[in-house]
Amino acid sequence: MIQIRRLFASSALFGALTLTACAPAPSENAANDELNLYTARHYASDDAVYAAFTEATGIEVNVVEASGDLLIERIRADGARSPADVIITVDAGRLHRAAEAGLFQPVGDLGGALGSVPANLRHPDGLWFGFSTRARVMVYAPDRIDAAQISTYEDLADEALRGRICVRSSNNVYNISLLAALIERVGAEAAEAWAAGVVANLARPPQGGDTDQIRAVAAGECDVALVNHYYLGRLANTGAEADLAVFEAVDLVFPNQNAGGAHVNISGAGLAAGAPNREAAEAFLAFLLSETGQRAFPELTNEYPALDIAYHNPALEGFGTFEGDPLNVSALGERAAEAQRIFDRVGWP
Amino acid sequence: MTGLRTLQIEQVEIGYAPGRPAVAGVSLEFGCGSITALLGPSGSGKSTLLRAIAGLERVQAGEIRFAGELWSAPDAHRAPEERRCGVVFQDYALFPHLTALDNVAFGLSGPGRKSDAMAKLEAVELGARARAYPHELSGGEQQRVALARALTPEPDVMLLDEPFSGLDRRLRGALREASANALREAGAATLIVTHDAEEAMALADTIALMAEGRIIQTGDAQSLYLNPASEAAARLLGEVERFDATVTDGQAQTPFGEVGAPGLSEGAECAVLIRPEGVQITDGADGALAHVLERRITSGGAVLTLSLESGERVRATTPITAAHGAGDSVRLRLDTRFATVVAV
Amino acid sequence: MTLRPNANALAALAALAIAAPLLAVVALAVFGAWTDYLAHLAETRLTDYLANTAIVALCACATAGIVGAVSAWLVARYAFPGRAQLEWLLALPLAMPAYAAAYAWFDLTQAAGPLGFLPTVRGPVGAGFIFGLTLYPYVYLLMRETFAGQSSDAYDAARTLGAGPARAFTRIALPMARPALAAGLGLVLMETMADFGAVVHLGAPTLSVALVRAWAGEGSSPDAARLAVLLVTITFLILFIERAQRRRARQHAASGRVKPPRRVRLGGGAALAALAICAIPILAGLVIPMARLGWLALDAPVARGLGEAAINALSLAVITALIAAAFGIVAAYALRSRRPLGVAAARLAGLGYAVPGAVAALGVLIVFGQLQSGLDALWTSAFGQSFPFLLTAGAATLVFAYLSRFAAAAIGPSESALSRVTPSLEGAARSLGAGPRRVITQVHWPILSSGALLAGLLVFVEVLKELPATMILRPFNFDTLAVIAHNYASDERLGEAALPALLIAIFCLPAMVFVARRITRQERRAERQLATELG
Repeated sequence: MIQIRRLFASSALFGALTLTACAPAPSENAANDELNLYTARHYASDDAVYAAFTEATGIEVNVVEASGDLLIERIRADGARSPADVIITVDAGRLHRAAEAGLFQPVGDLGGALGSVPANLRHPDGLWFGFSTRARVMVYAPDRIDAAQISTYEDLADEALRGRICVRSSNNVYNISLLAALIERVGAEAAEAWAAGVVANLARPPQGGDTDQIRAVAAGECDVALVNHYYLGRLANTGAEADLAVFEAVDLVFPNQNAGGAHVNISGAGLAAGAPNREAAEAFLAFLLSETGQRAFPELTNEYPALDIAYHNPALEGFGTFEGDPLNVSALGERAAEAQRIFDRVGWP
Repeated sequence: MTGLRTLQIEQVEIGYAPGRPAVAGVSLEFGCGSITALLGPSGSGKSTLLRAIAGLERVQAGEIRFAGELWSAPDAHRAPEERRCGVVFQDYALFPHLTALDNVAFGLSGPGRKSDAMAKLEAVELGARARAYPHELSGGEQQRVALARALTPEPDVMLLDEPFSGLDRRLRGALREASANALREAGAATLIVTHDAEEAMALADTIALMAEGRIIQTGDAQSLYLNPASEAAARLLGEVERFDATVTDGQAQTPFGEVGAPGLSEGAECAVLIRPEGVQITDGADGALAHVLERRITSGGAVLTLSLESGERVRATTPITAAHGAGDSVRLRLDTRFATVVAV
Repeated sequence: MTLRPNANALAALAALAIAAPLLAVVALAVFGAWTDYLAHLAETRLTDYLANTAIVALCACATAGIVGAVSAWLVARYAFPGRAQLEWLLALPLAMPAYAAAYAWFDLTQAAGPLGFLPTVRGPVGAGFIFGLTLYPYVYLLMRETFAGQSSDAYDAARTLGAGPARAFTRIALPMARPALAAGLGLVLMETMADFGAVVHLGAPTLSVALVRAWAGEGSSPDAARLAVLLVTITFLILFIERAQRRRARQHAASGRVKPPRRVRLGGGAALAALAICAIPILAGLVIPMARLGWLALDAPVARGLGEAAINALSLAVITALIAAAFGIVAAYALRSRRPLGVAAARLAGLGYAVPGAVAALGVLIVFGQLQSGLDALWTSAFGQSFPFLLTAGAATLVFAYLSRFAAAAIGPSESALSRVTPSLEGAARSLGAGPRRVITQVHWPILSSGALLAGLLVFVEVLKELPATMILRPFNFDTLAVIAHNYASDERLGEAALPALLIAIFCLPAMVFVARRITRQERRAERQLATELG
């Protein structure tokens, strides 16, 4: 009995059950010493960023994390009562959708920091901005395929690659955003022809995650895979020998280096429309763009920082620098539905 | 009776808990075409023995054979489905998810199974109920389906576990007769387990009496009724009065006469067992004096409870027309044909 | 035994409240804005999705049905070395989230994996197996209960009529346990239909994928709701047809005492075979995938906040399990009453399980959003300010969401247990002068309590595993084990996901042992009674 009581006493739930239901939500009785963050990022290392922010400013960060779609629905359900201050998603498409739903207000210039974010990585009216980027790259087996054969995404539709490509399902938002970017660049018809070409070249039906595609290349199931760059970076850094062997068996290509740039998507943040702790929220957004905040992404999650800053990550440095697609990422959201329909039509599961 | 088509049970022992066997060294034989009743109180091990014959329990010692073939032994066990044993369970164990017809057809195989089963159902006058589920049948109908189901595969051995206990009295008599006819017609070696002496006597050619895991006497109804081997055996078949006595001059004394005690040594303690029919009211003056304490009417006559001069009580059966009343004094004499002397 | 009309209405009301999120989803489907996505879907992928759904569901039900029924039969009716341990070990794979098992098995059997010599676990058949192996405990638990309480007479009768053990099992014992089998497979079916993670990972997109694409890709939650309604309707039809088919046949013995069967002792080879048959699903559903995750965990850092997440998860699971068990009993009585309102409400409440988790969470959000604006308006007109509390942000909301999602898991066991209270048993008690209350406490409860325990256990395990509702409805800074495990797994960090997943299984253990012990104790009591009866 005593143990049970202790369990309850120490449980956040007990408080939540007895208090949350009958006490104001945290935001409503608070001064600007805390901040409510709704995030679709689920990296444990993000805790380090929040901790650093709290240490620097004394502002506590309350976090709810869930998929971007559900976050949007929760904020909508709460309406004007929503305690959300900052909304973060891992895809420009979701930011676009949240902006359409009127969940953001302009962030201001964040003490000049916003202006240093490349223009294509933020909303034209400053409703949101990207703070880290991820590139959709090709990983290939150098002993079986020549890098010159796969220098562009368009090459993946080439008949020479029949039965040699691994890629995950088209449910994956990065496949959708890649196709969305292609639609912007070459038009819907050409993009559909490209997707059909890739499907014809698949070595196996889409399955597994990006890491599984890299492993399949290393294992010889296919010769080239389309993945996000950080999965390869991570394989180098897990410390497991098998992972390191996979990392060493493959090479990476940033596609379209002289033909429009590699496709990039962002993790982005915006200021919630009804933010009850606006000042704290702006401080947090500015912190994401500070040197401390920016370094966290390459060093903890193998993402690229949105700003041009120095960092230490041998795996990322080993990939070299690359030219990213200058397309404004908000277009990725506008084209997402169209991209998905193309996938449906060409039978990319 | 060691004929070809005989079920032989030899020194069988069955136990669930060590040191407390449910069946302790039972031997029994019964042949095809005959009906044997295994009569005993509940808990005497008779159902366990029946399950062992069917192959549903293993034996710890002894053997069960049919027609010379070994069915059960401690290190050999023929599966129930290979024994050709029909069983009617106490609660009939009809398959609740199958119709009456499908229940009966279960034991058959081949293309004609449904029509064969239908014929069997019609034979027990249940053709019209073929498509009914067990819970839609009356108790008597369920019993007939269960019997038809067990008989349909034409088993060598038929085992019935309290087959009429769930039925009302009136129905029981009619069903009992019909069942006995069907069983005799089938010609299987039949064993009926029951705790109802009347049932055993009405149905069986041979009755085996069972108590505390052992068979205490075997014989036909008449010899068991009149010559029980022990008080326990006597009580299994009906009411009995017991008087303790000592053998004197080869005779045992009772308050109303003496009974021959063959085979008992002079001076031995013994018990005289007297069926109620053996205590008769006499008009003569030589009988023992007794007072009527109570008179009760039964279907078999009037039963008097009497008090002897010694203070002992005894019961006597009289014709229902004989008008004795409580408080009357009567004289009693003993019909020794209804008395047996057993050692104690 | 029927409830009095007002009690029945109360039960119906509770069931309706629990079904509210599902109704909200239906409302969204009916009144939400239409897009041309469904037409597009019909032209493109719909047949693929339907075919995959059918294959996955069929394989899952076949695997779960065979594994669950056979292992339950062995454990309930036979005695062999290790039986007592297997009795609760067999339930453990339920603690393994299907997506985690899918990730682990795919990782093991893909070309470069340590078990690469095996056919790769993928496609609709592979996904069906994964569901079967992680969800068979539903069937196992319900069937074990039923087999343990089922009189062995019918099985014995079949044996004496010439049926071997296999035929007597499939033709007699199994059909007699059909309500339990159907209830178990119903749960398997619903959870299979609702899954998203495993089917995508294994390349077997089902209808639930179409639903997520409608929402995530097209941004149309009404279309997602429409597909969810389609999923629920299909599930409901399957369950309805099953029920209608056995309307007339009764599964409990028509008369007589229910004699708990004595276990048949197996010797030598047979004992070994039984042991192996029971061990294989535990290995395949739990030990092997968990070992793979654990192996990967050796190289991974320990996730932080695990302790607090564990306490959160446990508290939620215990509280929800208690409430759900109570609700399960109420709903079982409502179903037994055969009053249309009660039956409809209880069946409706049970259907929430077939809704994919994310859409179910959306339903809860809609319900609370509407409730909040209603309360705000009411409060404003009365006190000039809006309602002082925000409904979506409390753990109580979360408990409600779980209840609405897992009501089926709570109703099934109680319904199946209550079906063992035969009318004659009840009549006997009533005729002995027991009033309705005594009948309930002395006849129903002893039989029902094992069902309620089982219901509590299933919900406990489900809550420990639940994701989408937990993620979106939890209070600030509130993690559970499942959330942590999922976050790592979906980020393709299987190693880090292993420890929280392992903890879920570890927390399920004592609950399962507790329930197994309680049930075994009840059986022992019955066995002792039988022994005295035999002398």
